[in-house]
Amino acid sequence: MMDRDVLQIFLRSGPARKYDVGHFSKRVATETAEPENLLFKTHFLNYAILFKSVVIDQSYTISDSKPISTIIYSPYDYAKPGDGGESFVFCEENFRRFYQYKLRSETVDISSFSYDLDVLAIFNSVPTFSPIIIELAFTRANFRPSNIYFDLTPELRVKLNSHMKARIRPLIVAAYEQSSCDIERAVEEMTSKLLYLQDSASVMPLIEALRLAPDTALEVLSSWIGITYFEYEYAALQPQLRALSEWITKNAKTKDSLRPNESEYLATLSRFVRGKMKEEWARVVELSKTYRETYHALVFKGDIRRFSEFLYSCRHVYWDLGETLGRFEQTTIAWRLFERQLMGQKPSYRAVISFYTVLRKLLGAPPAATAPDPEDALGENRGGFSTLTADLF
Amino acid sequence: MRPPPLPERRKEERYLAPGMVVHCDGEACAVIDVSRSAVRFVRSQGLMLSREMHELVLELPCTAGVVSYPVRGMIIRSTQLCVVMGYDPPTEDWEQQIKALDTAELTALTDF
Repeated sequence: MMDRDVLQIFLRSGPARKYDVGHFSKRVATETAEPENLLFKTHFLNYAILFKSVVIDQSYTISDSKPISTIIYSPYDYAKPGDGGESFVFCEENFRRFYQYKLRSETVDISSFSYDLDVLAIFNSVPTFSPIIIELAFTRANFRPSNIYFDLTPELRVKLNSHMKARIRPLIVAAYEQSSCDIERAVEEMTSKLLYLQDSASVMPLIEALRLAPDTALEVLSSWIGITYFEYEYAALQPQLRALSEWITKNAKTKDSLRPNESEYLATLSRFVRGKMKEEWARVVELSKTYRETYHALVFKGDIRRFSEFLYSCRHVYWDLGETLGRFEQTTIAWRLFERQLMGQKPSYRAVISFYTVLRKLLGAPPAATAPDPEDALGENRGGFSTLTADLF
Repeated sequence: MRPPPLPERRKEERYLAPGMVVHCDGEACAVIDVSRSAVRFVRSQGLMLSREMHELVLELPCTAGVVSYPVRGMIIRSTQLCVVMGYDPPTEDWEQQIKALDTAELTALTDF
């Protein structure tokens, strides 16, 4: 069953949840006129749209360590993505099968396949498609696609790098001042290396100083840097969420006169939505508080133990914050669209109920795609791949 | 006004100010943190710290570019990695200016 309301919200999502490869492919074609600059070697992927979504597996559980998956959505008509398409939850096996299905061939061009698989794996390695997160992931993986794919203005790139370096620099100094390591490299060079995490050997003294296990250290550090960036994103969303919460409390009146059961239903829905927003936001504030306190403990008080303890949990926190960020971003976009449709008028009862229903889907149980049954992954008996993420689309 | 002694400096609120740069005797150094009357910055290789007093220029980013404040800096502490120098606040609203740049201030989240 297709849920077009949620598909519309996904298609209108911001960068936390949506990455429109086709949009960037068109820009690359226009601005560089060189097809080899396209991100993927396989044509259909260059006109796909990627989504981040919670995926429920066969046992109806959500992975604790990585709650968000990447969905590759290939619209039937790229100009009308809301009319439906085919999609699959990314993993190597699903990609191989979809690739064979799209190319109508059992034989796979290994060079194209493995290159595109690697690119998709980079997208899958992060919880959101926020441009700076994507750029850092590609840089760390030593992939250098055209800058067009990162959609960052030079000013914004400088601002975000500056924000993250301002956080990383004191960390380097605090960790190294407590370390017995002989530091030959300059702090600034180390700050850049930690941000891009390209060379694990060069940050090894820091890994030792922070008492991290070498095999997971880079993932832990990249998660911590991701949280540093999410702080910035959440701060930007904060005023809109606060305004929405206030709107729900004060202004969500309909132009219709309502029967008692309608009033009650409306009140129940609005209480649920506002309650969920408050609850989720309070959780984010608490995580942010822990992040700050442990950072300040190290940087200003030299308490490395608390910071290291936080680092051990920060991979989970990173994915959790990424997932929640996506939901909040979609919520604010849904509200903006709703307000735009109202054009200053009071909404009808049906319009408000419809709006709250979308918010309930976004904020309640996370919008989830069901992982395919491996036996049916090709969808041979169901006319392709459109059923793979049935709960979503 | 002389910079406060070390114990007092440590009681001051310290801010992380992205984009802030300090020029110490003409040498540009990245700022680690800054408080009302002291700045901690990365010790660059060319920096000579033999004297007690140094020429500092505190550069703050602003919408029009940067604003520069020349001050006299006195070494409070130095290590292999960084230097802490005290100074007299260059303006009356100095602390507000640096606080407005602080990453923690800019990204503070509060409950609804």
